[in-house]
Amino acid sequence: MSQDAKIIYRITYTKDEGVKYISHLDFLRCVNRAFKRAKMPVKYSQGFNPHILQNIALPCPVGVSSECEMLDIEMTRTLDCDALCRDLGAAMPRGIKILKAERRTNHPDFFDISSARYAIDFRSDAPIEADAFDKEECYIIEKKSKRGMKEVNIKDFVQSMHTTQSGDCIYHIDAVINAGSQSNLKPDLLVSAMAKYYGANFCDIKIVRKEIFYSEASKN
Amino acid sequence: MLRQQIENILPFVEKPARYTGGELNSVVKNADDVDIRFAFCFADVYEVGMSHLGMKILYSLMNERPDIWCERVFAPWIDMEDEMRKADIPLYALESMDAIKDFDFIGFTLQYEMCYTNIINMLDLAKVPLLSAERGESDPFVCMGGPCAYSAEALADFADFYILGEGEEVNLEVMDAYKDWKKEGGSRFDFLKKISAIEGVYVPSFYDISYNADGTVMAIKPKYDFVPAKVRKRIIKNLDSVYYPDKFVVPFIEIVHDRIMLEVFRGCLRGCRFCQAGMIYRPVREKTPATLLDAAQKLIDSTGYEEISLSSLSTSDYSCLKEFTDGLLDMTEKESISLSLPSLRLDSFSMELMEKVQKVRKSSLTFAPEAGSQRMRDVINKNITEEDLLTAAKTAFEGGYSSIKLYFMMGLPFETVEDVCEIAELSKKVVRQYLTTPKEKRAPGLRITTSVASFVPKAFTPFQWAKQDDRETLREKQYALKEAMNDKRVKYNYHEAPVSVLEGVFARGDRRLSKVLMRAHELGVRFDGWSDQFSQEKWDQAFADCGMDIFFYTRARSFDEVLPWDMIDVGVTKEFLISEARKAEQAITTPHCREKCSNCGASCFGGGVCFEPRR
Repeated sequence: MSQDAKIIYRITYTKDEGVKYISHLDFLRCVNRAFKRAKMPVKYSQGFNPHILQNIALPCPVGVSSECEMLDIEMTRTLDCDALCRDLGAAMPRGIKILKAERRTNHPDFFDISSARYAIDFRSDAPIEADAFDKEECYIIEKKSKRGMKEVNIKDFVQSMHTTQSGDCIYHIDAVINAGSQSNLKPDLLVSAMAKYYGANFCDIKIVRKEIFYSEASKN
Repeated sequence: MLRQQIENILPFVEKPARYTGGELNSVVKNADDVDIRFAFCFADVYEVGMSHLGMKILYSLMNERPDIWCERVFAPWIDMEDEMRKADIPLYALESMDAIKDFDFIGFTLQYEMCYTNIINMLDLAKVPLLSAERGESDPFVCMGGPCAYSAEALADFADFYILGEGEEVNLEVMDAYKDWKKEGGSRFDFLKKISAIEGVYVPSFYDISYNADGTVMAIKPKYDFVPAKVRKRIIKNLDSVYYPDKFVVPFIEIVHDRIMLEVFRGCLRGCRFCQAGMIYRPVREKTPATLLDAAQKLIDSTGYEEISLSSLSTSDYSCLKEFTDGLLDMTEKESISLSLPSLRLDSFSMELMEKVQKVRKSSLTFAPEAGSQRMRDVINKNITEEDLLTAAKTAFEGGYSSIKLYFMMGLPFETVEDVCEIAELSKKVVRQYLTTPKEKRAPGLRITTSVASFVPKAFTPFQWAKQDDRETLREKQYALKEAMNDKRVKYNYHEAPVSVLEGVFARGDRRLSKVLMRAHELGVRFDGWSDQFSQEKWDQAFADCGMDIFFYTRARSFDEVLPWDMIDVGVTKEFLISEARKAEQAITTPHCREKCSNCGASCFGGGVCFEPRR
């Protein structure tokens, strides 16, 4: 069956501060139950242990809130998008807001997600030269890979970053970093690398995912 | 609000979602709009506490009132506790993230004795004075309820007051009294005096306890003339009309009982002599199928849960079981959710019900013969025979089940090693029952699990005077049973003896144990119910440091000894318990409430099975 014949909706939603510590698996269960509460005609997989046919764009790291989450969900019949948006929103725990729902047509595949933009705020225990780390070409960190810890240049994962001072020892970073199944960097790793670089301790860290980008190839 | 401080430590702890609230159906109010803030505490981790039905009921009940905000508090796991102490974050409530030391009430539910050190640790983390006597006018009131509260003298120095029995009515009466007291303006003493007039409220500091030279209690005397000599527990007379929540908080993380729970009835007809729940929840009061099905539908709609279970003692004794399960199965099938049945009694186990449940999902069956020999089953008044068990097992195997769990106890009064070894024989007979079931009828993969707990004598049971086996005796019995259990097809589990002994000490303790609890807390004891945290050495030291003897509390008592909980009245009389204890010695059974009333005393509440027309 072609992608178009299936009734798939792409739902865009936010995860606020209150629910940012929910792990990906727990979040999946939470969404399942929300569809159940909203009595949506979701489609189940065939087989011994039927499950909802849903696909979440890019698992949100624990501790990160988001303004741009997406999931695809298959239904057994078509629905009015506004009603879907409203009813699912009402069934969600506070902390998850449904922004929009649209029938998936020629939307890009989640597999083609390549990067994401994050807004990061933090407080440093000592003043730092805000853009020194931004300008570095290379900074080696230990990163967990499938085959254990590996030394990598964190800057290879950073497409752009811009740090500004927003208060007394309070800083703001706007960064686009690799995300997705090809190459991925958790934003908290960027923050801890920076702290190490400056020899400072950061606290009151807030990370918000602002935007998700697809690779160039997917746009053709 | 401590959110920012808390967020700074969450990256360093396991399962941070235990500590952040925000779940569906959790109740957030504006603190300025309420008169009373109540911190409902469960002294174990989130996953355990959130599984507790009583908390769900009372949380919703109190939050229905616009003037009360009830919030949840659980024991932080040791990693979180360390971080909280390092960052100087006081214990907070999940909904508001406000420190509970600023609340009006801090209430603990006492579900098992091994959580007592957690209670003290939580008060310490909350920065509330640990001892009732040290709390001042600006401190919250610390109250305790739940099944252990009837004999929680060990916590007497820490509790300002206890609430005994079912809380739906009395909790709100206490809240109203609090508002009146606030209006009137009075001391802490005035408030405690005021609520000591409410039936079901027990203020431990209003009683003087004197002791004999041998350490036993000489007398229990009220200190003031306004204090009742005996405090009677509260029950809900008409259970069918009692408040039941139409919403449960649905956790993000998986909890122990992650499902809808329906309370079918309270109390138990059976009168097993070891069972505290069977005595303290008397008399049996049922809900009607219509009420239950209505509650089920509402909870399915509001939670989205994929499973529903029934929560009662001996659920198969429900008088409308057929009508109810027919209706419930229709509902679960329509909503494509599964029904899980609690342990059923062997003698009323029906193929029909099993088949019905199997339609939705097949799992393992649990039977609780409790004792291996017939003589012991008569001693404990567990009215089932070996034939009942084997017939039920046969039915189960023919019905396609291949996994059966068997629950037993050891260390029961009047028990010999031979009685214990019969547990092995009985388990093996169940295996044989499987082997003699025709291959084409039975499912492959036989799994028999025999779990043996150590018996703990509890207050308000016929065995409250019994000697509890010491660690060595229990170990010998466990070893003998292991030897006798020479069949690889039976998986044999048993409880650790030291924890059971300590549980027994606190289950029948007096208030002098408050000192030991305090000392254990100072030594860093907590999470005793978690085997990886339990430290016998620290407990031995705590008892030694206080000059107290564990064996004093595990000894046999005589019927005329004043018991530390004699100021509490659960309805069931001491005379009845004594007559049951005597019958146990002779292995004489007692019929259940619907067969014949045995005049236990519970009819004093004027409701329930005691007033059902007899056939």
